[in-house]
Amino acid sequence: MKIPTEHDSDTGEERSADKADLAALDAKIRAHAKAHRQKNPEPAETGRRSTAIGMAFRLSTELVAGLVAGGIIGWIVDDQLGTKPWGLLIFFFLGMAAGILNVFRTAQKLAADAAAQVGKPDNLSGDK
Amino acid sequence: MSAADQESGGLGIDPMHQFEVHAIIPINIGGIDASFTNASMWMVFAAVGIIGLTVFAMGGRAMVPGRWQSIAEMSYEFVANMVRDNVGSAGQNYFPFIFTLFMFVLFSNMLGMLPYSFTTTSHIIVTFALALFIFLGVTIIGVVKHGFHFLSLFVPKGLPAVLLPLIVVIELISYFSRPISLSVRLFANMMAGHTMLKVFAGFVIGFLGAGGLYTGLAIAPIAFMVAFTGLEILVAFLQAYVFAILTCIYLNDALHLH
Repeated sequence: MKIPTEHDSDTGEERSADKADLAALDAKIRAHAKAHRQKNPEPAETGRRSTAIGMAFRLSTELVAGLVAGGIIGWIVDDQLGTKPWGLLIFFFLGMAAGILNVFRTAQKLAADAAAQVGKPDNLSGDK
Repeated sequence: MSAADQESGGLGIDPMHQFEVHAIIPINIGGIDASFTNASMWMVFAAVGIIGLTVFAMGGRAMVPGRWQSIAEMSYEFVANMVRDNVGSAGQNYFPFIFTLFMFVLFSNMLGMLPYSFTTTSHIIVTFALALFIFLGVTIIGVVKHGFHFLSLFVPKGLPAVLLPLIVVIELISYFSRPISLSVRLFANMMAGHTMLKVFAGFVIGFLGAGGLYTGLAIAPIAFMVAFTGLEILVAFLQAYVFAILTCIYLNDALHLH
């Protein structure tokens, strides 16, 4: 992207003109990039998504991480409140729920990414 | 020879030996062991490598880049696109951090592929320290940007009031599990791969030691190791990418609460 450097003596009007120019340029670049992506999908993108082992590994770590986090929190709760077995027990199961929630969200995201690979919607929209 | 082999389970080498940390320059500060170890040394190598790539390769600032400048520019653009796609233009402020993180993990993973080197990212304490830093940083960014409103991250939309306490606790645990999953994924991938390589290297030595007909069989584990080394290089890159992109996603969550 070109940055206009000539306008050092920036009055308010020149600035807004610059901004309009930049916005127009930005829109142009986005349109071009979008067309380019539609024409030739990135090979790297399909490559890095397709590793089934990576996907499985990602999901399993999410599940285990939920359990471990629940267990640690339960342990700390027991330690602080002296409620020996109950904190660990309850938070272990809550951790399980959190792990499943993690897996569900990750799987949703992976599916959305896969759908985006096929459909190629406008993923250049910048700010969400 | 064969007696010694049988004692060590037929393996001439210990596959976990590569993960041993030993002090190179012993330093002791007030009873705390702060030695400069082989792990520290390889982290320094990674940092020096990144500085070398980004500073010296870009030193020429040629309009038509050479090989090294191309690599530096490609890695810059790769991370810049990742940040823009996942965080949006608000993420540009955090680009230097994500870039540093990606390059450090990538260099650590890749340097670990060199023979006789040490893979710093195969130690959970290293990856967990990185993940905890990201977790705390992202949480602080979220709290600073949104204040009390940040807590709405833990309350899904359209939630019945009856389920509120249960779901909020589960969401909180899910949030706290982020640094764990982030660090365990990187550490386990690196450690498993490197252990596997050494185990198969042990098979080669075992076959060669057995002699006779078995010597010819050594070709199978060697072939596997060649293929697996290629896969490990892919994993080294992929895990650095996943680490960086998950940081982007967490940052996006903190900047734009759903």
